[in-house]
Amino acid sequence: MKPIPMPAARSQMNGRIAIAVILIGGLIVIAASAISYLIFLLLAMLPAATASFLERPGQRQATTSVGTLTMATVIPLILGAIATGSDRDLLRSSTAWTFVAAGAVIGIGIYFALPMIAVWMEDMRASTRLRKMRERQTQLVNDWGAEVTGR
Amino acid sequence: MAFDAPAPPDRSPDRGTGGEVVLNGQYQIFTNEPVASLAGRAVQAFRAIDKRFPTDSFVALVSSGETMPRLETMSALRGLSKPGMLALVAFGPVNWADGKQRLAAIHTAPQGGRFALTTPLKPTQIVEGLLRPMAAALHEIHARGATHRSIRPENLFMREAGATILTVGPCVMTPPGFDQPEIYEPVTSAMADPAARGNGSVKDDMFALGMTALALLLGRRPGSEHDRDTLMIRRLELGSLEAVVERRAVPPEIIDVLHGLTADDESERWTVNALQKWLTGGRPEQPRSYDTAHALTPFEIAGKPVRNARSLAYMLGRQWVEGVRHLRGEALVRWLRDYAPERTAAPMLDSALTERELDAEGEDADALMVTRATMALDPEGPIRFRSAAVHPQGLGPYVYEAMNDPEKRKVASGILRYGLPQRVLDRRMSERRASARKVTRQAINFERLRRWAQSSEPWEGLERCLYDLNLNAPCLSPLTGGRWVAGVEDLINALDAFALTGSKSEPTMDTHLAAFIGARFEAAGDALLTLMKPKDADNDATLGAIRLFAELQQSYGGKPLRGIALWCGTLARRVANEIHHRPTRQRLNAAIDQAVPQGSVASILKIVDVIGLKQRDERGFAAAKSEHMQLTRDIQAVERSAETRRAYARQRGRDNAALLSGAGAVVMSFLTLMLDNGR
Repeated sequence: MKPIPMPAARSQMNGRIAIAVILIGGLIVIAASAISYLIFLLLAMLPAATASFLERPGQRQATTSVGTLTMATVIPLILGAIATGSDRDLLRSSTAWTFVAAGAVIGIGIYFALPMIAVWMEDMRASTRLRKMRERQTQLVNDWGAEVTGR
Repeated sequence: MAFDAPAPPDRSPDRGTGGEVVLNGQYQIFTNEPVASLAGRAVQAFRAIDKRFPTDSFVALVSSGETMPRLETMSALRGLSKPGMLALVAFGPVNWADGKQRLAAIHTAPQGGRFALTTPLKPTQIVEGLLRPMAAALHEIHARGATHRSIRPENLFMREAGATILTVGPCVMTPPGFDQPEIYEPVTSAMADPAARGNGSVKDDMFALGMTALALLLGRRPGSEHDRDTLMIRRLELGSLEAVVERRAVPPEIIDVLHGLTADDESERWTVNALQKWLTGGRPEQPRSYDTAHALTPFEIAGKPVRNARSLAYMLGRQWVEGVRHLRGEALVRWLRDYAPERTAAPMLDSALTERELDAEGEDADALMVTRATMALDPEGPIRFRSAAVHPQGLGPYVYEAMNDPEKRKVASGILRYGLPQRVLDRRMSERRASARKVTRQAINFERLRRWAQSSEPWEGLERCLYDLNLNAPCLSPLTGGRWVAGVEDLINALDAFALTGSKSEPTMDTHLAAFIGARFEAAGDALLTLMKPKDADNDATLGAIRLFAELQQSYGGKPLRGIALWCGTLARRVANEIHHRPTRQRLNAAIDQAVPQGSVASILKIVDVIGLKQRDERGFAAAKSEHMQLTRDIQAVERSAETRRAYARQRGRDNAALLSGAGAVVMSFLTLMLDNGR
């Protein structure tokens, strides 16, 4: 008996439910350790949430960039604090906020820089191709005379 | 070449100093010492010596170039020495004072001077002094396949002072019979123009000898009491001998030989053998005498009464404008029908006059009517067209002479384009006895001449006929620089010298040169056109022209020809410049530049005559053109899509930003752990 293929929307929904379960689970774990850490997490994720608010659904590259890099700083900080007895006050730690800010800035930087780099590279590639084609045309004119242009 | 070619003169030393020119480096000709007794209408005569034996005396005859010399006869008679003739010892072109070349012939000088016809000679003097030595000389001349055609009292000399034997003078510098007064020519050739009498036969020499003997007997030119037309009419109506002397006035001991030699019917006329038989006491067969019929009532034309069809034809030809009037009237036909002795003449004329000349131009229709009438009345006579009378055999020298005379040129062209030589021969009874092969060949030749004369191709026309009819004629083109150009070597040298002057960068030849090359070397028409109009020629024709020069150079022995190579280089560059592919073109031009100074036309030809080169170039050019067009389209497409591409790139950058953030997140996590733990 052949397995019945799962529709894509349903699969996506299951993935989101799984992520939500993990997130809620994670949030419960963090909240159980110290409520201040949960607040720290929510405050740290504000830039990502703002980006998410500004971007259209399905086009949330800024949210992903900023959120991923912010999470990459927040999670080690919270996990480190929990691991050391949950007595570190992250909300008032300038070091922690510096890491969070750096993560958010780098995320924003990547989001803005990469398209520019891609455009620049595309321009370079196009101009190289144009140059080569024009060189070939010049070579043809040199070899066969101006009549080859058909004018 | 058709004759034993004279050696080309060595240019520099030939022109001697102080009125001297040198032939073949051996014979010194003193141009300031003319010999009046041997000069003629188209010939100058000068004293000459053999540099090896300065005591021997010679005379150089130098052609003016207006008439065609008899080069075949020169080749045949060179070295022949008999008491009855002045020996021809050498001939060839010499460098003349005007910078051109002229043909010269060296003869032994007559030490006794020219014979003067002042008083009548006795028959024995004529027999011993003229007939016997002349019989021996003519026997030798005729044995060599040649004819003399210049036997007359004014051309008789004495080899030594006080000699009793007469010697006949030169005969080779002008066309056959050119200087002969009509009376010394048989009636058929006497009616023709001097340059158009044709080679004739050995019997023509016998006639001239007989009439010369009669002149010596009379002490004056026979028939000198009559004007030209009257004398000719008398000859046609009475017979040549009877027209100039009464039979009873001729001493009986010489009447037979005179009668035998001057018979108008060539088949009845004595040969040299018959003369020799008579001289040794034999009795050769006498010509049967025909009573030349003539009407008692004459027909008058241009004030001359004529009494038979032949004399009528003669006068129609002589006065053709008046002849047209008579032919349009009824009197002439009535006279022919009622009085003329030839019963068939009237119907023959009627038939000839009903013919139509569909391609006749302007006045030619009238002239052709006269021509047809004279052909019908006297088919054995010459072609009479307009004011000319031309023997079909004498067309070559006539056309040569006509080249310098616009009127004669028109007449010569008409004779050929209307096919008159073939038409007159078709009417001749004598020609019907000739072999079918000869008749066919002759018809083909005349048809070819007719086509050329009608042709509008620049390398054909009358010039092509000239060189076809005169196999030894020199090229009359000014491009030869006045050189005597008769064969490959002469032509190549003349053209090379001319090209080296640099006055023409490419061979823009005139009609004469193209016709000469066409006639002598069977060159293709398009190659000749290239030589005349290089700018109008296509590649194949241009290559044909270069190939022609290459073949000429090879047949000349491959000697370097820098001048002609310059010309061919220009032609070859024309071909090379037709190649689109510039590197190939440059390579070809560089190779041509390298080959030209070597003077090898074959090398130049090899550079540009590459099989398939042009086709490959055309294919390559078409492909390049197509590629260029495609590239233009591609460039435009790239330029037009710039904004779209950038938008895609931007979007791709954003998409990649999310991926890169993932990688950055790993790095950031480690950094956070490391740096935060460190505090």
